[in-house]
Order: sequence, then structure tokens, then C-alpha cells
Amino acid sequence: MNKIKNKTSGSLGKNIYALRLTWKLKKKYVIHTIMSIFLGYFQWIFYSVFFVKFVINAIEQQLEFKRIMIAILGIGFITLLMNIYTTYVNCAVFPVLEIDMHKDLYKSLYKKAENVELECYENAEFYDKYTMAVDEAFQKVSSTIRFLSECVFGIIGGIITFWVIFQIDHFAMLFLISPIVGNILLGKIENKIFYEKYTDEILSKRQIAYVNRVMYIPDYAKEMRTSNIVHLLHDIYLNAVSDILRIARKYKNKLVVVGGCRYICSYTVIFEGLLIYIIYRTMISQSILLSELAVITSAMVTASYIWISVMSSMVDMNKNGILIGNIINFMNYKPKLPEDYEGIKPSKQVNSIEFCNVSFAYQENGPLVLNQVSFKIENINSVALVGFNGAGKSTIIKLMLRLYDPLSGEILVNGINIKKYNLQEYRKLFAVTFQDFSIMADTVKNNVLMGNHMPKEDQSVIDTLRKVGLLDEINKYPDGIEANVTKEFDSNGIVFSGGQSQKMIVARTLINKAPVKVYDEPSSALDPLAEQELFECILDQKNEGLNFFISHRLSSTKMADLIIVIEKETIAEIGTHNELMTKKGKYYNMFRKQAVNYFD
Amino acid sequence: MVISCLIIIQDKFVKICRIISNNFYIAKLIFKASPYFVLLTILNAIRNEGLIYLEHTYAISFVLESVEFGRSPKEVLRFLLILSGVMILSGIYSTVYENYWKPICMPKIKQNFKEMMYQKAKSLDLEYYDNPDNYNDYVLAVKESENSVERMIDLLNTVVGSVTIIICYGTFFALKDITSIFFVLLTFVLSIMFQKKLSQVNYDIKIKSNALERKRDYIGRVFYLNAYAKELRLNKAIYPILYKKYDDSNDEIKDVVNGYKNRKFKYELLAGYLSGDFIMDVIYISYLVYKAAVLKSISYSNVVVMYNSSGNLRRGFINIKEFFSKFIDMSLYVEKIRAFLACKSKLKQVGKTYIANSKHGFKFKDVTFSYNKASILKGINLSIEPNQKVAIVGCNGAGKTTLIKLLLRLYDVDSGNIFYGDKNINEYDLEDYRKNIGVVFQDFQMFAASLGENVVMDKMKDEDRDAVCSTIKKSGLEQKMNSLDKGIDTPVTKEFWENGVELSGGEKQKLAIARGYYKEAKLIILDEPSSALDPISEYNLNEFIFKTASDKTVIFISHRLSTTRKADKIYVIDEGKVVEEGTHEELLKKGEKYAEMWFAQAAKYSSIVN
Repeated sequence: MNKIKNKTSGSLGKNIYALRLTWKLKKKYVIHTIMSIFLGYFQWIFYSVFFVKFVINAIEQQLEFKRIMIAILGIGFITLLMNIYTTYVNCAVFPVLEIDMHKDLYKSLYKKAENVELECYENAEFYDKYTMAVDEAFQKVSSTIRFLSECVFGIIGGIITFWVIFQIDHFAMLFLISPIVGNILLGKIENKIFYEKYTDEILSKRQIAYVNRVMYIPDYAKEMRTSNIVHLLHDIYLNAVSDILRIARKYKNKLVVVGGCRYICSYTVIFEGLLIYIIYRTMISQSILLSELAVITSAMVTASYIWISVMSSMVDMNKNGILIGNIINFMNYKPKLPEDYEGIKPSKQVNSIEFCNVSFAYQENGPLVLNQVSFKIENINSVALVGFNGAGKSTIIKLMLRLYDPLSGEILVNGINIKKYNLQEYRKLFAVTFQDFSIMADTVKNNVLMGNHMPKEDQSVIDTLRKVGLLDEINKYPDGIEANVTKEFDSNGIVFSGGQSQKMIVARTLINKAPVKVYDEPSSALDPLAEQELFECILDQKNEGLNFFISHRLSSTKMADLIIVIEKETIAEIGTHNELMTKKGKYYNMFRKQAVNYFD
Repeated sequence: MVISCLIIIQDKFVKICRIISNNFYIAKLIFKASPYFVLLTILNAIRNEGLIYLEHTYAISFVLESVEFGRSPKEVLRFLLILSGVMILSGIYSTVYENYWKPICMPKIKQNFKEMMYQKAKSLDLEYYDNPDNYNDYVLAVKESENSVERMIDLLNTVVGSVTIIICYGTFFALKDITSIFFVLLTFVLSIMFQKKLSQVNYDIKIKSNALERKRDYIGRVFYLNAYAKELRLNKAIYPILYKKYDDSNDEIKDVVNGYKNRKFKYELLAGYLSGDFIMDVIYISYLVYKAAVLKSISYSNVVVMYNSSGNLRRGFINIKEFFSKFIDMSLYVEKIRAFLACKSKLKQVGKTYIANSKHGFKFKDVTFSYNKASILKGINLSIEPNQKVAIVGCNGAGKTTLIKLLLRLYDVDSGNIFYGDKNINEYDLEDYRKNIGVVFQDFQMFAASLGENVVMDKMKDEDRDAVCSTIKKSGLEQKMNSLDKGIDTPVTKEFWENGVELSGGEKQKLAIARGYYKEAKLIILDEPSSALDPISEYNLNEFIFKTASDKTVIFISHRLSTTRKADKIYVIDEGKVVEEGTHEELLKKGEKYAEMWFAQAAKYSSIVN
């Protein structure tokens, strides 16, 4: 199966990828982000260290008040300009840039999604990672530059406070190492413990969330009222809570010790320790001046908070890197069966479809879903695939549509292996009603046409809807075929019942001019009369090309020119209804079982 | 004039009272669940802010003044050593609070809360789910119950913290230089004024772009949801339409943002820098320097301490403001929670009789029911005798499932009566009444529990195991059960367990049927039980209904008339009415709707007779 390879290892590589991507999306965004974060740090350090130093010196040296004022106002003016810039960038530049970047990033994700094979959607592991990649992808990508700038300028700022204190007293600087150790070293250990605890808690948290969900999702409401399932859920919840408490107790000692040490390193040592030291130097050895002492007290607070913020930016960047990994993996994924697969153009007619020893499994080394299936369809109009649940009927259709490639064996259309055809052109040979169809939040007309165009299309849509028996329903709405389906964007939108939806999907297939049409359980939600009408209507089209049916109800498929009975991953019987009935084999048995209650 | 003013004031007063009462409601619940934790939290907030003051302002000011005015070094060192000791203790308190008290107490508090919600959720009328407004409130209430606890603790922190700040720093500035407080208040008042305008702009942007963003996100969903993947791959022509819509909605969002950007910039600058840092870093510092350099009324170490501390006092005021907006927010959520908890069942309960004799029949008399103002059942009359097998057939949307829901008392009838024996079903104890009915819904659900528990639909006791196994056998799941390593203890769904088993559609349906068998109820209801079953399994189900369940009353709804044929009685429902009733033969003879449906299905199988 798709092994998702980690091409870029480590969080740094992933963040670099995100940086490159951001740069590619909008250079301006990168530059403005760096600039505004730089200015933020600059002002912070400038005011809390240099400005304070300047004011103290000015008062101490008894500078003329007017001159001090000019300096304060001058500096104020410059910072005003800086703030105008950062505010403007944040309020007027970023929001606009972000929309474009968001759009371009998602478009490239969608383009990629468009091109990967269906398997990616049906493989839960891949799909989970894919949805994680898509989820808030823009925030993840764009925040890298912010975290990085914060780290870089934070570290530079930290070094500057170092230097300022170093200038005053060489040894005082040593106290500043403590918050670095505290935040970065102990912080790392603490985060590791948090992460372990978090992993331990995952199951319990999921259980709590699950019970919560069951409580309010309407699907469960009826069963909750007619059974004692609530007791069971309550039990799951209580167990989860006691697990969480157990885990909290398990980690408390470790966390208290590490957290306590971190606290002492980050605050107590630098604040009280440094104060004691400089008081000693000022009052006893008298090597520090009062003004210098004042600067140090201001600088040390700044230094401590800068390291705290550097630490948190580093943690965020690390976390973000992991999330970006999902995006990278998805973007770098090489589709096994790319949708833009090149090849020869198929002819517009389908004369024959042949499966030669086709075997298939959804997972590598997983159970075979199809085992050595062979059949040939030639010069007929309708084929029915029948068999038990999970026998592999829908899989045959998926392979025929080349949504998957077989594990072994080959599929020939018009005598040519379908792998040789241009995939997009090849798929145009088919129109399909899937069992698990989907309805778009769009007009009835677009839902039927699905982007295809044809002459007199309004009339064709109306005709087709009439055929499937949905026109009366749609005419109840003033907009007719222009009415919106679903309430997604239109509160007056049509909400179809299960049966009506199925009819619309059949209309989608009927209107299509493709030479092969596939109907996978098209009538499961219909009552008997509606089912009969629908089948008659499908069969009216019979002479236009090849029709495939899948159905449990053997009565619906008995008129097919060829019936293929699938059982236990392979073909059990093949032939016309009459042939199979005379054979008195599997088909006969199944048909009898269904029929026996109608006639005995 | 005066009166209308008074009314407005009274209205406001009522509103404020409600907000306060809502907040106290949650606070009381939390306090009841764990009074110690509330106390520990208050102490933690005071400790945190109090010590920030002590360390950053008082201590530094003390040290600088000691040097400037010459206190004895010994005294200063003693002070600093005591301070260090206090700070270390405080650090320990803080880490123990975060890593022990909080993780232990919070889940317990939340649990108390949740149990209350769950109790209520079960007794809630099904109708509550159907009304979108009610339902959204309900979801919010359940989702928010847990967050409300977190929110309340946060609120407590904010209010105690900011009061501490204001007391500490207020006193400090009042003693040092009371005018400084004026500067801080000025920044606070100005920023609130402009913030209000800014919020309005942000709100307008949000309102305008919300609908557009939803459109954009919908298109995104179509691209990435599994449900659309196959269809998109076969209908490539739809892509250009989707991309165009995507681009259009992006352009529209951009127009909205562009339209507001200058106003947003203006207010942000006014509310942010100009009414904050600008006042402190330019005006306030000038004031301080003037006092120190010209008036010489404050020492220059005080300039540093006051300048650096003014930010903290500002923070205190900002936090108080935040507290009020959180306080109001909180009330909105609590309102929903309280409304939910106060919600009473509308089902009319006339008596509390327990079912002593389970050998009664059911009778519907002139039952009508409407749903969202659309009339669904228009006078249903039918009777079900004990041990009868009754089939209900009819087109989609005829009202068959509604009938079942009424029988189960998930809803009450609008008019008419449903009797069990000679008593109206609303005279029986609801829980006891439902216990006597086993039902397989059309849209049954799997639960993330073991296979056995999914049959029992309750905790499975050891003595239940044999019965569970035999029920599973009867329902045709034996093969599946034997293929699983852990048998009936195998977890179902992959919700929590990697090795959980995902049942196929047909297997799920069999499991659901097993639930119905297991319940030992005298009445079994099967709603479309065979829709996902293959012919053989369907045949077995029929066998079960008519042979194994011979001592039970069975009501089943089915499209497949082959299943319904052997029923003792068939009711045909059309447009909310019973249009035909009788045995299969009687109805065929009648030659109406049932006969038409029957022949439509049966004709296809005719070759078997020929």
C-alpha cells in the first residue's frame, strides 16, 4: 500500500519547506512578517533597556530638561512611525495577502487531490493524514515564518541584554544563563513528559468525546430511549475519567519536580540571585553605580521574559513542523494511478470488455476481494452482477472504471489493456450511478448535467427528470430545474428523500451520452412500484449502449442479456437468466429463495 | 418619559441580575463539587499577582532606594533572602497547583456536571432533536458543559488576579505619586472607546464574509471528502465549475476585506499604540522626568520603578475589562445549559402503571400526527393482537416509521388514542413500557463497545453470555462471531481500538436484529430489516419471524412483499391513512394498491413457476 515516506526528517526541514512555500506564495508576506516582528522586539528591548538607561543617565548627569524632552519626543516620533507601519501591515496588508495565499495554497492541495487515485480516499490511514494536511493548512504554513522570526529576534534580543549587563558587570551575566537552562533544557524535558502524558491520555479523552457525541447526535437518540445503552456509555465515561485521574497521579511527581526546577531557574535565580549579587557589588564592594543597578533591574526582567518567549516559539515551531509534515507528505505523494495518466485515446464505441484472471485486494497482503476473475462481454446490451453482500460486485465496477488497478491479471476494453488508454478519455466512456452517490449544493440542472454540456440542455434535463419520475416534484418549486438542491446555501433549497435522491442520480447517468452506463444498486431506497418504473425507464435506453446493473433483487436483473453471479471472490456462474435457471445451480437457489415467498 | 426611563433601567437591571445569577449558578456547582479546589484557585491567583508585585516592583524599589538612601547592606540582604525563600515556596505552590491539584480536581468537577447533563439527555423528548433551534442549543449545552467549568475557573483567576493587581499597584502608586494613576486610567478609557469602534468594524467584516467563507469551504469539502471522490473522477467536467466558484468566492471575500481595511487600520492604531504605549512611553515618561529633573520631587530610582510598573497597573485594568466581557459571555452559555436542564418532557404521562400482563394487544384509534406542520398521519385505526405477525407496507414517506415512533412513545399523538390492552399507553410507566418492546430501527447504530454489549445494549454480565451467544447464532452472525479471536468480547468499530471489527452492512443489520431478539420483549418491531441482506439471509430472517418468534408479537415494515406475505395481517398505509387491511389473499382478491405492488414485484419471479 502507499507507504508514506518521510522525505524531510526533523522539524527543521519541514519548517524550511513551509518557509519556501510561503516565499513562493507571496514574498511580500515574508518580508513584512520579518519586519514587523523585528520592530516589535526592537521596541521592547529598546524601551526596557536603552531608553531606561538614557533617562537615568540624563537625570543623573542633570541634562537640561528641554534636551531630554527633545530626545523623548524624537524617539516617540520614530516609534510612532514604526507602529503606524506595523499596524498598517497587520490591518490592511496581511488580511488581503492572506486571502490570496490561502486561495493559492488550497488550490494546489485540491489540484493534488484531484490527481491522486481513489485508493487514497479509501485508505483510512492515508485519508486521516490527508485531512490533517488540509485542515488549517494555511495557518500552519504561514505561521512558520512568524515563529522563526520570533526565535531569531528573541535570541538576538536575549544576547543584547546579555551584552548590556556584561558591560556593567562581567559576572552578573552568569545569572542570565539560568533562565536559558531553565527554559530550553528543563523546558524540553518538561514538554517530553507532557507529551508522554498526553499520549497516555489519548484513549480516555477519545472515549469521553465519544460518549459526549453519542449523547447529542440525533442518530443515536432513538436507541438511547429504547434500550439501556446509556448505562454502558456511562460506564465507558466513568472508566475514562478514572484513567485520566490515574494518569495524572502517575505523572505528578515528575512534573512537579521538573516544573519546580524550571520555575526556580527561570525566575528565582535570575531575579533574587542577581539582585543579591548586584546588591553585594553595589553596597559592599561598591563596584556598580546606582544608575547601573537600575539598568540591570530593568534588563534582567526583560531577559527573563525574552527567554520564556523564545522557548514558547521554539515549542510552537516544533509542533507546527510535525503538522507541516502531513502537508509535505501529501504534496510529495506520487500517485500510483495519476488521474492525468497519459495514453492512447480510446474509440468512441465499446464493443467488448474482458477481464482476464483479475485478482484484487484493497490492502497489500490483505484478503483477496477478487480471485482470478475472468469474463468477456461482447455485442450485448445489458449485464447484471449479482451476489451476496461483500462478494465483490462493486469492486469489479471500480476496476473496470480504473479507479483501482488489479493486483494481477488484465482488463481489456476493445481488446486493448485499459492501462494503455489516456485515463481521462477512458473514463469518459462511462456514466455511473454509485451506491453511495453524492449530491452537490447546486441547482437541479447542474446536479444532473455535472458540468457536461449538450444542445438544448434545459429540455434534455426536463425530459430526463420526467423519465425517472422526479419532474412533478421539481415543478413544485418556482425555479424548476434552476432550484437549488440542499439547504447549504439556500434556505429554500430542495431536500430530497433517499428515493428521490436516487432518482436524480439515475437521471445524471441517463442524460450522459457515454457508451457504458453502470447502475450500482440504484433502487435500494425505492418502494416496489417506483423500483419497477425506474428499471423500465433505464431499459428503455437499452439500445444506445451497454448497461451494467448491480442489485440484490434478482427480479430486477433477470432481463439482462448476461448475468454474472459472484460468490466468494470469484465468478460462480455466468449466463442468461434462462440458462442459469435450467442449470439449477447457485443462481437458481438464490432466485428461488427470493421467489419462494411470492409463490408457494 | 420618566416611566420609560425607569422601564429601561428595570430591563437592564433584570438582565444584569440574570447574568450574575447565571455565573453564580456555575460557580456554585463547582464549589459544591470541590470547595478546596476553588479555594486553592483563589489563593493561586492572589499568590501569582501578589508576588509579581512583590518581586518586580516592591523588591526592586526597595533595593534601589536602599542604595540611593543608604540602608544597611545586612538589612537589604536579609530582605532579599526572605524574598528568595518566599519565591521558591510560591514556585512550588504554582507547580503543584498546575500539575497535581488541577489535573486531579478538574475531571471530577466536570464529571459531576456531565452526569447531570446525561441524565437529562436521556429523558429529553425526541421532538427536541427535530427543531433546529432547540437542537443547536442542546448541542451547545452538552458541548459547553465541560468548557464552562474551565471558563469559570479562568474567570475566577481573572477577577481575583486583577483585583489583586489593582490593590497592590493602586496602593503603590497612591503612595508614590497619585497622578500616575491618572495616566493609566487615561490609556484604559481611550482604548475602550476606540476598541468599541474596532469591534464594530471586525463584526461587520465577519458578518459579511461569513456566508462567503462558508461557500468557499463547501467547495473545499467537495474536493477533499471521500463521499465526492468517485463522482468527481467520473465527471471531470464539474471541475471548472467548482474552481470558478472557488475563485469567485475568494474574490468576494477580498472585496469585503479591502472595503474595511482603512477603517480597521485607523481604529487599531487609535485603540492600540496611540492610546497605550504612546501615552506611557512619551507622555508619562516626560511627566516623570519633569518631576525628577525639574521639580526634583521624586528620586530617579523611582522613575525607573514607576515607569516599569505602570504596565502592570494597566494590565490590571485591562483584565477587569476582560473579566466583564467573559462574565457576559459565560452567562450566554450558562443560559443554554440551564434552559436545557430545566427542559421538561412534553409527553403526556397520565399514570405510572407497570405492565403486569404482557399478553395484550395494541390498538390505534383515530390517531393523527403532524410534524413541522405537515400532517403525516390522518386518522389511523388498526389493531394488533397478541402473537400476531403484522406487516405494514406502503410507499416511501407514507408514514410507516412515524407509526412506530408513536407506538414507542417517542412522540405523542396529536389526537386519537393508542391502547395497550384496555389502557392508553400513556398510562404506563414510560421506561417499563419501552422495556417490553424490542425494536430494530431502520437507521440503527453501532456502538463502540464489545460485540456482546452491542447485542445486550447494556453492560454484559457473566450470566448473560450464553444467551448472547445463542441470540447471535439465531440472527445468522454465528460464522462471523466464530471467526473473531475474542468472540463476543471483540470490540466493534475502530473508534478506540485498532483491532476493532468493522461489520459490513448486512452484518450490522443482523446484529441489529439480534438486539431485537435478545430483549426478551413480547413485541418486536422491525423497520425495513432486510434492506441490506442478501437473499439467503433475508430468507432466514423470514423463517425467524414466523417460526422462532411464534410466541411474540411482531410488527414489521418492509418494501419486499415476499416477506410480508405470510403475515397474519397486512396494513397498507398511503398518505397517512390505512387504505387496506387483511391477509395477503384477501388483499390480492381486492385487487387494489396492495395487489398492484405485489404483481409488480412478483411478476419478475414468475419464471420460477413456469
